[in-house]
Amino acid sequence: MCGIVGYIGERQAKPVLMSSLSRLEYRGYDSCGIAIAGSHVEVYKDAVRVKVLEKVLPPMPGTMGIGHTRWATHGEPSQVNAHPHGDCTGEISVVHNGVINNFQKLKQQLVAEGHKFISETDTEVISHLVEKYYVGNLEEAVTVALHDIDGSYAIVVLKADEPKLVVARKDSPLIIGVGDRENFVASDVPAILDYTSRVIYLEDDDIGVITRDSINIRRHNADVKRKTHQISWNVEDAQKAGYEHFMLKEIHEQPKVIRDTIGGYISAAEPVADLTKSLDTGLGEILILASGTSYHAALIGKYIMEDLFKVAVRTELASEFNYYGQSPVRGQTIVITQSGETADALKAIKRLKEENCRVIVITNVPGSTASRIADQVVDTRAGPEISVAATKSFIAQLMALYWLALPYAKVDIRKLDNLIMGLRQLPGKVQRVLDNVNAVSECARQLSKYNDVFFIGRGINFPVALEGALKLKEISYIHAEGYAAGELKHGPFALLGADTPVVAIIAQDNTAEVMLTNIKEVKARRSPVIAVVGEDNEAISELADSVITVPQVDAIFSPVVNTVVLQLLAYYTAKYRGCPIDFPRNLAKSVTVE
Amino acid sequence: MKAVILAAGEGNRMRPLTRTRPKVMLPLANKPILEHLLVEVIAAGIKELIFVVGYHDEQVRDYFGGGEKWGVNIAYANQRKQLGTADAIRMSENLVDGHFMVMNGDVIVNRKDIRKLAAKRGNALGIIEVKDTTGLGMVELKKGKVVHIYEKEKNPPSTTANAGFYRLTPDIFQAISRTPVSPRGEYEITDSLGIMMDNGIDIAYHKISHWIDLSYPWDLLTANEWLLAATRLKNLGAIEENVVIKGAVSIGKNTTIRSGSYIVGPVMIGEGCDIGPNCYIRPFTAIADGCRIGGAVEVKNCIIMRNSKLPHHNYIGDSIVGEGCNLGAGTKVANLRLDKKEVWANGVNTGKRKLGAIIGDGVETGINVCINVGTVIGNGTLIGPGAVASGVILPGSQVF
Amino acid sequence: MLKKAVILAAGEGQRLRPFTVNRPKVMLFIAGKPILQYVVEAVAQNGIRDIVLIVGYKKEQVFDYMGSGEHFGVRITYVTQDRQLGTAHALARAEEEIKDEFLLLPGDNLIAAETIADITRINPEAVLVKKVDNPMRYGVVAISQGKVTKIVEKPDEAIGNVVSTGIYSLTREIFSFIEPELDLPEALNSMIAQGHSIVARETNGTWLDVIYPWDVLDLNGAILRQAPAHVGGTIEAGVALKGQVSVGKDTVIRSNSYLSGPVVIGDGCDIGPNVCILPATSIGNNVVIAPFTEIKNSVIGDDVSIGSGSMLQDSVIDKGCVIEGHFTACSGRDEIRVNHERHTVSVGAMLGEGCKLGNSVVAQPGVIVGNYSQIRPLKLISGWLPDKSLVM
Repeated sequence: MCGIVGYIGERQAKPVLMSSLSRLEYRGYDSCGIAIAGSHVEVYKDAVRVKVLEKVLPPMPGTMGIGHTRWATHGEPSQVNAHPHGDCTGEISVVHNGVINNFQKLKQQLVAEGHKFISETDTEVISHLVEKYYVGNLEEAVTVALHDIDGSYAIVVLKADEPKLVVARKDSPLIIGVGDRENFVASDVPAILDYTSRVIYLEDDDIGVITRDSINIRRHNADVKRKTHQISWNVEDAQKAGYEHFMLKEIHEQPKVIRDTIGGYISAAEPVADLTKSLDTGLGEILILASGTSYHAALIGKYIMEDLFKVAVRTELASEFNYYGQSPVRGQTIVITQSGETADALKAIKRLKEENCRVIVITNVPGSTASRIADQVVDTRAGPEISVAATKSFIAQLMALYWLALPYAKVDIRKLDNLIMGLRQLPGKVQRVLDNVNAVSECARQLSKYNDVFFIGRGINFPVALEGALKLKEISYIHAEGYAAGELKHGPFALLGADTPVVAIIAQDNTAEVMLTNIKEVKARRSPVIAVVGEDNEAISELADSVITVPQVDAIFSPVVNTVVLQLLAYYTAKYRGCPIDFPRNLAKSVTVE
Repeated sequence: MKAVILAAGEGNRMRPLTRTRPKVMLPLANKPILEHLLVEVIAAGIKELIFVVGYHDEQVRDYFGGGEKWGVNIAYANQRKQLGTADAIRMSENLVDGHFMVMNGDVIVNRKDIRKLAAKRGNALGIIEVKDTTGLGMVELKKGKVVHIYEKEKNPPSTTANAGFYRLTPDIFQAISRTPVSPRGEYEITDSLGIMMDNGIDIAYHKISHWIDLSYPWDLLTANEWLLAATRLKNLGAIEENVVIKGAVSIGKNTTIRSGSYIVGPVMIGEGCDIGPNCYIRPFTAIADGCRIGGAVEVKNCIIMRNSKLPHHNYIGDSIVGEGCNLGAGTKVANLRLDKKEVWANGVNTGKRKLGAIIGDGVETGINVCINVGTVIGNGTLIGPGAVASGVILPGSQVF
Repeated sequence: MLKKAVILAAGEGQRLRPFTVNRPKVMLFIAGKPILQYVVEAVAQNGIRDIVLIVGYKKEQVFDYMGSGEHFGVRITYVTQDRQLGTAHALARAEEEIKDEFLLLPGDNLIAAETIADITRINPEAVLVKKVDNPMRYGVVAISQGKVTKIVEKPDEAIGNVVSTGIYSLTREIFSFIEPELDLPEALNSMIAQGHSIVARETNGTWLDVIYPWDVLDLNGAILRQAPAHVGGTIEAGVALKGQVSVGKDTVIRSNSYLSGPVVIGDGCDIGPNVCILPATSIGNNVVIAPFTEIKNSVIGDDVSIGSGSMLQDSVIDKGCVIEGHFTACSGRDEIRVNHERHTVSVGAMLGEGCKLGNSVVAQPGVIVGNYSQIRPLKLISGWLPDKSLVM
């Protein structure tokens, strides 16, 4: 689970690999390393960030090499476990992204055959297998070695004295950047955009041999031709433009993201996706699948659609759905994945496709694997998100869900007009939340002193409480839990007290009254209460210890403004605690392992 | 001797025509600008070429390939970011050996000048006398040497312009590596030459007789006219009865000219076109491959790019039509102001009294659409029946 | 040659309230762009690509819009002035970023590229000056033989009509004369007192200051006159576009609307049918204007919705206002009080952001409504309403 890169050409490989790796750090950054080959292979790696490694690297001449930035799965982050991994001779070197399921068995066999293992990683079996099968031709050795392997992988292999890179993929992303008298390999497009805009996407089971001047791809022992895509976007010079962290920059981009996303939909003047079949055939079943933050968007989507369509909507975590054989729906499935590469989501889509389900994918990356295998794609126009903690992509997903639902809403035309008007007003409302930073920052200062925090909400704001808790634990490392407010009395009350603050999200809908009761219950246990509430709600300001007001919006849109408040709250709390906000420990941006 | 041709730029003043192609791939007389230059370079005896590409490089690569069609060898170097001419030349460092020529792919110079400049010793640049110095870098000469190069200044001390056309020695790469970023954030080759002069390396010059420098879309029409003047009568297509052909008209293969068509050269018609019946094609018109010119259509002094259709009752003059356009029956383009003054387009005085429209790729119009003088229409725009289009219309718009 | 520009963008602009309660003065939108963008573009046109922006009040909005400067063809470095302690103090924050000579400009004045060219041609130190009719609003410059002898801020009595535009070309010398809580003219005065000579260069180019809310209309008019027009989105049949009319992408102009330029309309708007927009009006992004509404010489911010049958003249409507049908805001001469100053101007209504107006509200000329105010139907509003007013 990681970022991998490779280079072969005329330039010195080291600077190319390092700059490519630095653009892949969002995929993992607990350790990194590079290997450069000439007449022998030189490897340098450590459990440090790319920037740090760059400073300590010795001169490593050579025009062919591979690199890796790691997010540990098998074996703790350490110098030994960092990639690239070599064989016994030190002539072969491998970088790998994925998980090898049968590596214990393979390792035992190889050890029995006399191979010496250095690391605890699953990857090392690949280099030893290639060594085992090597009889003068690297790609044949890799092809045979992969027969033995059960699992997911994207790999780049090189060997001293063979001027080529051998690549292969299965269930992990890998692309080839096509250059002039040079070629590139990477897990993701941004890594190579400084050098070329021509890209070949490898498919599962492809094995490629890349030299300075050629790219040959084989699949099941037959040559295949893969299309070269022209990437139209430029290298977005990832600069913080005045901000201290990407996360705050991305939070502040949200009014624009909302405008861009709905602007695209409104101008299309037609439903963004066809839900007719599932709604008209009476099957009326909708399933929404997602993971992580996207799952919270899915839960909000459930409330939106159930409210507007009056049909039952099911939500599932993609990772659970894959293993427990839950029945797919006969209606419509919506899969939400920011990167379009999340392993759990991809696996779920493949399974659904096998069962002949229609799949709509909501993704922020056009051309991603998910968008290529879905029946229909709804693009969110959030732009590249660099901070590991998702913010603007979440809001853009909500916009996609609103716009997906509105054309089919079973409400009268006046109400629909009001909803569309409400949607148009959202950028301004979010801007007001952003401008109210002092109140949020003050609450964050208080929150930063505690070790446990509860977030409570009801109805459509229950998932917002989950998202608020996720953001807080993700970047500030404070233990936080999101609860439906009515569930507190079924257990968590035992934990409440003066040192467990509660963040309560109150919407102006039919849950407002009962939320007040819930807050009184919490207050009775002496927990400090921070209330997130619409303006002019005086009953709350008497009850809560601190109040963060948000502009009035229709209850169906309240998750948008409330989430932005909680994003800011998490950000400033992490800042008061001095956390590394854009790169929280143990996390990576898009998770391409299960 | 090798020649490095800079072909990486977008040419943003050529928008919307450069939305989907680099400036060097804009067609003149049915060939990209770059091909016209290539022909001259080859005629001057240079067979090894390096194209520095960037913006929409796939267009250049697909069209020219390895140069087999022209019997030369073309290598490519990618300039990923537009960081100036010096940076572009640096991209070719590994591909040249010894001295080499450098020229801008969007300026056409003729074979004699290329040969003469190539015959100089050491480093040299091409210069040209101009009347209007705006937007050009000027040079100061003394005793057969260049003593100073001025970047685009308001009141330059001479009317001798740098033609962006060089013979260079490998010394240049050392100078490039020491070139600082210019105020506009790019590495300029003129600064690198300045560094060489400061180090006592002489820069010679050759005064060139003629060039075609293209800045705005309407400059294409002037250049097109100039290049079409050399058209020779040639017919590879099928011509029906009662077609009138006067002057130099070139007709590509698989093209049909139907009865009653009246064509006055110089006119160039590409391959696979369907022309007529009963149309009137007037001088200085270049019609690319796969176009349809239908009945009762009059075309004059135009560049019509591939696969566009002017099928019924159209008038279009002094205009450029992008690829894959379809003009509805009766759509007409005005090309002369009622007050006969010079036409403005996109906020710029074109200096032309007669100018029609600049139409991007994939534009579709309904029946009886009127397009006013100097209109610039973005790619993929739809104009509804009977509508009047004028001014600047953004890509993907709908005007009814 | 000058390679670096320092632009002051930290100020709030108190007298521009309510429009500056939620944004720095440089982010006032006029004809679809903030004032700061016009300044940055003018600087870039003079070949200066390295820009230091000194930000402070609501600086995030500057970050959000200007970013790293890529979109404007410049490289922007940000320097924060946390407390607004005068222009000299602001400049001192940027000392680390400045290596040699530089251009200093206010980010909240409308400055044309030609105006800047007047000062980049001469060597520092110099100040760009201009003759104006009402010098009392500005710093008046006393000049002798082309050199500045003294700058007097907002003089009580007229000592001349040549004023400082706030555009200077300077060297690092200036930093030794900066003391906290000073404005720049005072620092320059002490430089002059120490024997430095500062050239006074006069310009005839565009330089407009915005001080009071109604100045927004003057600036809007000035910019719209030069704005090149382009049409995007969908223009339905029967729409009349006269003169210079710009329409942004994804916007729909519905049938029988009449737009007479100069008019600028942003992206994603829904306008008409049968709406009449007259010179010189600029409309932001994502704005809805319902049928039978007439708007003339006005500035409408982002996300605004205006109901049917409304009439607006010489008015400024800030972002996010929701106005129901039959709103009337006619222009007329009136005396307006700002702080303790009195001004007689011809102007319609000025609405802060996020206001909600019920049906058939009538605004008296010169009314200034604070942000987030709510006005019930059929009310007559006049004078100055503070933020969050509720008119029942």
